[in-house]
Amino acid sequence: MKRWLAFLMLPMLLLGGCRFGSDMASQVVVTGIGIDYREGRYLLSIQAVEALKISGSLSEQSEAATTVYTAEGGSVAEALQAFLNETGKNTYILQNRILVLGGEACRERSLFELLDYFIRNREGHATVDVILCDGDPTALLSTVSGSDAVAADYVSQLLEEGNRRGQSVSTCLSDIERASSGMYDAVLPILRMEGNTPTLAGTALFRSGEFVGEMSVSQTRGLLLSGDTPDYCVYTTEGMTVRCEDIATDLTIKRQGDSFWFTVTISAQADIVEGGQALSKAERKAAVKRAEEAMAAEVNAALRRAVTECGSDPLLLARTAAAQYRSEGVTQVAAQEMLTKSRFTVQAKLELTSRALLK
Amino acid sequence: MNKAGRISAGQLTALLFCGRLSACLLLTPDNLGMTVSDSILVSLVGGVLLFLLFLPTILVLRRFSRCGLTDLAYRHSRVLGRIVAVVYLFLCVFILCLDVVQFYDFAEKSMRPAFSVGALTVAMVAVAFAASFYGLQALGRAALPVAVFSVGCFVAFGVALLPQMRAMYFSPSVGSGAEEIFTRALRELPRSAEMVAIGLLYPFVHHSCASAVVGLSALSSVFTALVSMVTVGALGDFALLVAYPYYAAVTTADFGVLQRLDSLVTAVWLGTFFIRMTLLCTLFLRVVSRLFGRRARVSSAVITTAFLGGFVWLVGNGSAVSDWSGITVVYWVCLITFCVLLPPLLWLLQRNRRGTR
Repeated sequence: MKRWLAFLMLPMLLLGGCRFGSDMASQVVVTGIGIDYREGRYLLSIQAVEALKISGSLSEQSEAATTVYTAEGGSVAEALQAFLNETGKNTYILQNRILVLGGEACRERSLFELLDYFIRNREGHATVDVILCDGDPTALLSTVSGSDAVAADYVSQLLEEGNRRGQSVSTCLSDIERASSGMYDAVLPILRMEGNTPTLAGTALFRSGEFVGEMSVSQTRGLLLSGDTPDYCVYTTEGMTVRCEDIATDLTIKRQGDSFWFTVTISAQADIVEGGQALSKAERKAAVKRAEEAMAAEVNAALRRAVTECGSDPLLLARTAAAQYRSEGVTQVAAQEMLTKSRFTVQAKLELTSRALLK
Repeated sequence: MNKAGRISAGQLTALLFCGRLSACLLLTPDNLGMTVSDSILVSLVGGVLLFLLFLPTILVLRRFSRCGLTDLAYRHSRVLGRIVAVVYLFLCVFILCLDVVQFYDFAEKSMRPAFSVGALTVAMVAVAFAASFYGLQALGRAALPVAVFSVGCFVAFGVALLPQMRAMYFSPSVGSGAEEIFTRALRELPRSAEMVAIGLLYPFVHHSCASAVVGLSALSSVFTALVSMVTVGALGDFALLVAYPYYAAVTTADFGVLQRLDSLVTAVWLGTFFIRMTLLCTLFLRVVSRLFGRRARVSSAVITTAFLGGFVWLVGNGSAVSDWSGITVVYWVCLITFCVLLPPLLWLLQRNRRGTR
């Protein structure tokens, strides 16, 4: 009897969580947050789903299921407090998908300062995407997509797919947390509003959390190819489109006095996806050679832009060099200083698949 | 000694291993090996030290049938027996004090519950004392599934963190020297100080404790090394900037449908910590019943719970105590006194007594 009673009472232990429950009407489920900084004030855009306003699943919504609120304060926490004062609603940030930083905010404030509230706040996800919006974050969060009722989901998918194709870097909050230790420098994907549509517009580079420059979309692909390799990428050269897959990158470092010489070798399988029918085997090979040159040029341009021109180290190059030359007393700090004088040689080796040669 | 109240060597391993797992979970930046070699060497040295610490107790107590260190002292004289028992009593309370401070500190810094952490700590102590009345065998039986579940969770955490891990996150500098490695091992080991109580546990174990000790030392080494490597591999230098790096690393990962793993970490931590505290409470009550009789157990449990509650209330934020490096020295004094010095001393006294007879 006692055992049965104990067994029946066991589920009641779960009711402990109900003690701190709150009314659905008194909170908004945050799906995206925008942070901008103007004239010494933080401007917050909060994209939120109001549970009581929606019915059915979010995917069945005919229009945007979210509302974008704005709030202002001397800090992010103060702005959130102002939001609470104005609306009487608490923010539930566990479902937050994206953190959108305004371009101006990133140029004026350190990345770590802007995100400090979210780095410290354990209520949200550490895997939330962080984006730089070239424009007003409120506009980005107000985007209405035909396929997604929640704009944050749309933006998140855009970034994920962009990262797979080598069009956009993918940075989450935990990457920024790690970067705060000085191990590497953070990079953020840039989204630009073109009309009402957000488009991938390159990469923002940072050095110790400070904005140091931007990269174009093609340079972004170069950056991704030299480090965190994308799933595939596509090159079009003189009427033929080559799709590169199974991409692997190899890095060798040689010390040359007070600088390093990096050799990046990228190898990939290449398939002709369009325009190869009229070409002979030799012409196809020549077209692939041109794709190799384009790939190498992109990677070279990306490395020069990020490392030499902007002094940023998103690929842990200083750490890698320090690990290789630690016996010579090269520390990470010393390697970082030597990095800006470094030279880069990039080689791309595309191997045509048998399928590509047969067509 | 009642045979029914005894535990197997495997259960003893599980009991002590739960304590080590809970310590691994609360790994501090000071004890992290920032290179792979450091992680392995620190845990290896720790494992060897652990084995060496247990060795004198095992070597001495195997000569006497079903006899713990307090029993051995009582065999020599009633006064010595009482002195050793009282010292053990204070030792148990001391370790419980440090355990509750550690509990408070982690709950405050990481869990940040919406209710009083002090009340949670007192509740934990009260439940541990209540559970200790079920005896060592019940605790041994409970420890095994908790240890298995915890190991399973640690493996799942490792798998979940695998995509985030990078070889370059380990420090590029040359590994630490022998002195530094030894210092880290010395700092890490006392964080599961319940091992001091091996002298009390010995008579309750079937057959020999040796296999349990070897198993514990090996498991402890492997787990400390893995936890350290997973933490540094996933967080890199950032691990040095947070209070509890392993917890911080796990909270950045997800596993299948589980979008957040912090609740699972908390469950593992509470489970292993509960076993660790209950073991101490059980030994405490054994000593109390030896000194003052079985009737004194309830009142002593209530008084000690109240004392620990007051201690937590006075100390408040535990970082003041847990950050104090002097604690490590005190821990080591206790470890050496109870594991290395006391067993041979009691053996010598026992031998002299036989000689004079």
